[in-house]
Amino acid sequence: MVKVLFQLLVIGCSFFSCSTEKSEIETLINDLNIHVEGINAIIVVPLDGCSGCIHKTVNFMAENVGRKNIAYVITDYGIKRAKMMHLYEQENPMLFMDSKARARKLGLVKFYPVLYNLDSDNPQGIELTALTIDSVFHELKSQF
Amino acid sequence: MIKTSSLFLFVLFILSSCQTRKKNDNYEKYELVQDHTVNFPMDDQTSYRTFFVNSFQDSLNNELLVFLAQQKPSIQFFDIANQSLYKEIKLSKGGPHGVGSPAGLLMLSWDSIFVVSSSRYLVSLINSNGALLKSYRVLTGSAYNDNTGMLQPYTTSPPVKINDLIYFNVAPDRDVYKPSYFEGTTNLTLDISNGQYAYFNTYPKEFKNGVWGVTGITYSTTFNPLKKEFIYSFTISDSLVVFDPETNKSKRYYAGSRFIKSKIRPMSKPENNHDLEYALETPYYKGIIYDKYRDMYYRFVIHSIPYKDETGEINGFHEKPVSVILLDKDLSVMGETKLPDNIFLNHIYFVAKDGLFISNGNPENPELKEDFAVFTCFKVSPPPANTN
Repeated sequence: MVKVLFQLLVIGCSFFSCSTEKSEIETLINDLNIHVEGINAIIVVPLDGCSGCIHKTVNFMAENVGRKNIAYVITDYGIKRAKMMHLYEQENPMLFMDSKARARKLGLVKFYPVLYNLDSDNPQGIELTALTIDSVFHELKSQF
Repeated sequence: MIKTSSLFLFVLFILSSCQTRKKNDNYEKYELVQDHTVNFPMDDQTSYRTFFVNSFQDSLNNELLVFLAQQKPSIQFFDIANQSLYKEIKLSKGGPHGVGSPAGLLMLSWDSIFVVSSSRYLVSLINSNGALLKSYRVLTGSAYNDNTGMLQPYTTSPPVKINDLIYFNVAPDRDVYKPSYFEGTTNLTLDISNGQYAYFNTYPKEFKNGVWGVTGITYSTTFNPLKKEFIYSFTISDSLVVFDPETNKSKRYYAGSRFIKSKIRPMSKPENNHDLEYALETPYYKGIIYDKYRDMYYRFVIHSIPYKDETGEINGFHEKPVSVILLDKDLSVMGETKLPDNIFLNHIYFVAKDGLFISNGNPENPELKEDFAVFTCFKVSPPPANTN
């Protein structure tokens, strides 16, 4: 699983835009009090941006949020829209609300959801764009 | 000879100082002052953040706020005077009465409402029960291309109906990071008598040979029903473009901000990765709206801020300072007021009898209430002579 995620990120990053440094994802992890033991990856989901990509990611999350090795961070200003999408009420230890949009401030997310691999020494993010999202989710699912 | 030259330069200096002072004085003749706030309650499926608000006066002279609840979706009508929900029209995204995902609308009467789905290139005529009466598609087949554009029926560019034609702003279906984007067409008319549509107009010349980022491509339109003219506010243009739909001719009027002191520069690295940095560091002209009660216009301006704050974190786009230029009926500047920082949103506003209402929904606003759409009513001071 870890290996595949890493390969995915390396391949993805060679074709698509990747960004960020380890310190920034670590800052977010600390800010949101995410306990990373057993977590291989974090998917950061902005509620503003590519709506198709966001919906696909939210659907993927709904199906797979029970898996303990991927955490999801919902990034928005406020909690109302997360509530409207029935994300806020979910009492799931793998789901984290970033209601002050810290991930945006840290440059971890812009227009697309981003997958971060925590197992790499230099965890880079891969943007889940229309071009990448299906293959990334397909690959992740095949590892569950 | 030297003495004569010196005298000439001195006179020139005095004259130019006087002109500058006169120009700056125009920005201080009138100002916007905060008068009162209004609070419209949002239900648990409606966010105060919407692409579309507008005011509407029904046949009983009720002054209503038209509010598009995009996610629900529905059109909510609030009585502005008593700040309560007056009526709600529920919309269907699909099915026999489906209108797609609504992005904006044109409210003509209770039984004639055009709802626009930008992503589906769809314009749907519905009645007050949300029943679909007729639909129009402004794309042939499913293939958009360089010659098509996506409808922009937002608060900042509401559709306008003249006779059988509905006028829309469109965003060309082109790569925004290539200069050829700005050769695309910017407007579309839909003939509701036969469903035919036509593209026309393009970006002004100052857009050519540059790339201006995702924010730079948007532009705002308002319609003056007395003069039957459209007024366009383009992001990088200090001038306004006035378009006469009868003659298809345009004129330009200077309406620049005193806070934008130099020419707006294009992106030096025209790529997605550099867009946010560019958008924060670049000032833009934004929404324009005609005030029929005072026969004048308001033009929004968003100023530049650094990409990162002093702690090294990226600033939010909503943290850009905002000012509003006041223009008289002939589009001459009569004032410019800078709004308090981090309280307002520059893209959610409407004009009503009392004044210009601007959303207090800035995410940094410490008094933000997510279950209310809060607006501050701004009045022009001193009151313009031609107030109706």
